Amino acid sequence: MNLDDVSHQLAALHAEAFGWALYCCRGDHALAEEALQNAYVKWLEGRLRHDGASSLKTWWLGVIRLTAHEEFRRRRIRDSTLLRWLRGSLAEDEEPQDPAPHPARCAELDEESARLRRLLARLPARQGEVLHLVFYEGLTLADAAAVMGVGLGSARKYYDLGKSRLRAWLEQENRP
Amino acid sequence: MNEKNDPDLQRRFSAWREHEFPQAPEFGPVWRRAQRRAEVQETSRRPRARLRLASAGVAVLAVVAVGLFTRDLSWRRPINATAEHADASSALTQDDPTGPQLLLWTAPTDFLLTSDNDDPVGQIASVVSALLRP
Repeated sequence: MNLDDVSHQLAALHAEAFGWALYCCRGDHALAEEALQNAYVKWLEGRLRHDGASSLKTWWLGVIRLTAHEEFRRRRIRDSTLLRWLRGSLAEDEEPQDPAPHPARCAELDEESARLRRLLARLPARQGEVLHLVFYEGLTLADAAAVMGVGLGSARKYYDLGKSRLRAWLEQENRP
Repeated sequence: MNEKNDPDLQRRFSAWREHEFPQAPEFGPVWRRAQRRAEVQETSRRPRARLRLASAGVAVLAVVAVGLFTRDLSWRRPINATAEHADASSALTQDDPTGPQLLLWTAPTDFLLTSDNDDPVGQIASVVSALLRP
């Protein structure tokens, strides 16, 4: 597969991939862009190989998930109080940072979508992931399980639990 | 398998997706930045590999130099002691076909335990050189 073919295929998946990266980075736009770019770098350096066991989209979303988690960990280590103290950049009167991204760096959403994302973030990580992959990315449960690196049975369990919880919360919030 | 059997949830997620998609950065600039970064990392990887190779070479040379130095300091006594031990062991294991192998593996340990030489690095170097002697 030459580079032009690859870039065309990745370009076609770009918006969906970014939506997934954004979810994995808890709505932090800059971090999601960084994670996606790092995934492209991995591809360009030949560190990734699609063996055809799953569709390109499923495989690519799995790569982005891992890359986003790496980026998230790296950012947390870099921003840790100890490392900032070692670098001497910790101001004496500085407040400890909130792990959630600054609102200005979050993607703007309408109220309804913002509520959905907030509720999804309240779910255990895997339950939120499987719901996002199925409803947002349009994957089947089997593909979602492949992206998350879990078995189909586990993915189904996460899906059922997550969906019933999300439904309950939405109904609760809709009540007057 | 129809997982999306919840039209209300599907509608909400679709609205979210439609709202978020236009906010995605354009593919072109992100791809080009990734290409540039991959090129930079490729060019910086070669000097790093050379540096690692040079460091490994220096480490090997240092080990060899230390070995040669300690060998010069304590050469004779350990050789004699090993030779005496070898004679005794070969006498004991004369009829045993595993004798020579046994001797090879037991001689250094035994020698180190019984020797009164207070230079352990020199002892090891001497034993190794004794074993390697034709």
